[in-house]
Amino acid sequence: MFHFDKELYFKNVKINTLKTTKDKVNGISGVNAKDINTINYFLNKKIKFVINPFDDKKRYFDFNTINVMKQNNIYGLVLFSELKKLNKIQQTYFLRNAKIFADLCKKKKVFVYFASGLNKDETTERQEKAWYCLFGFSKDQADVFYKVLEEELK
Amino acid sequence: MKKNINPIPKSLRERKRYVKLNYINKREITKAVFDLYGINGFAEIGLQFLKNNIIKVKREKLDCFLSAINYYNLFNDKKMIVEKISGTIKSLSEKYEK
Repeated sequence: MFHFDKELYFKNVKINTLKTTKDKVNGISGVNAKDINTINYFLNKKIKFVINPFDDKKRYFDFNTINVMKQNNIYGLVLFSELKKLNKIQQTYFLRNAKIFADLCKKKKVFVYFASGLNKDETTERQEKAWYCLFGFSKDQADVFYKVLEEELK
Repeated sequence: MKKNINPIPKSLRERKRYVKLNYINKREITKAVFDLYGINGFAEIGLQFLKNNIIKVKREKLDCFLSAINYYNLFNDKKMIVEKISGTIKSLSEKYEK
């Protein structure tokens, strides 16, 4: 069975995510699963994004998953709206795991996109780009990521 | 008038940026910066609260400050939004707004 999460926003657009499933489903933009097996299952199913493949306790990705992501032109995506549910100590572990994911993707040259899960009225474009500063990306790199993904979303 | 004998030249001074927001919550901003960047990061950003919802930060650490504001917006209903960023206070005043 599959389950759509309606709370997630990405670039001020609602995205349909998939948490657990065993059947084929078409028209899904991203996967938000918390298992290695479910993520690896969907990598060959014409998906655009892999969303938060980690938790405050564990990481659900591998060298193999990122290599497959590069072959199929799949992007990594870190949404900070999951921070709302967590404790203050848990937040530090979440951010640490996010940085490990970002560094691995950087090494393998896979695009990673960072965004808060806020609406259009609540943020600006400049505030959204500033998240890249947390993970050691420069301002010019952030602009490139933003342009590439704008074209992909169209 | 007493003149400073050996002032720091303008080229060697720290670069700064002034940020104007729709409203300011001092305690919450400092909390957000501490949570994300720690004591060392807080010192590097060099926050300074001025009048009329204007904040002074270092130019190199502007993006760190903006991400801290976005971090604050995740947890609060009343959102802080950047209205304008500039290098002088004069251009932030209402006279020069377009």
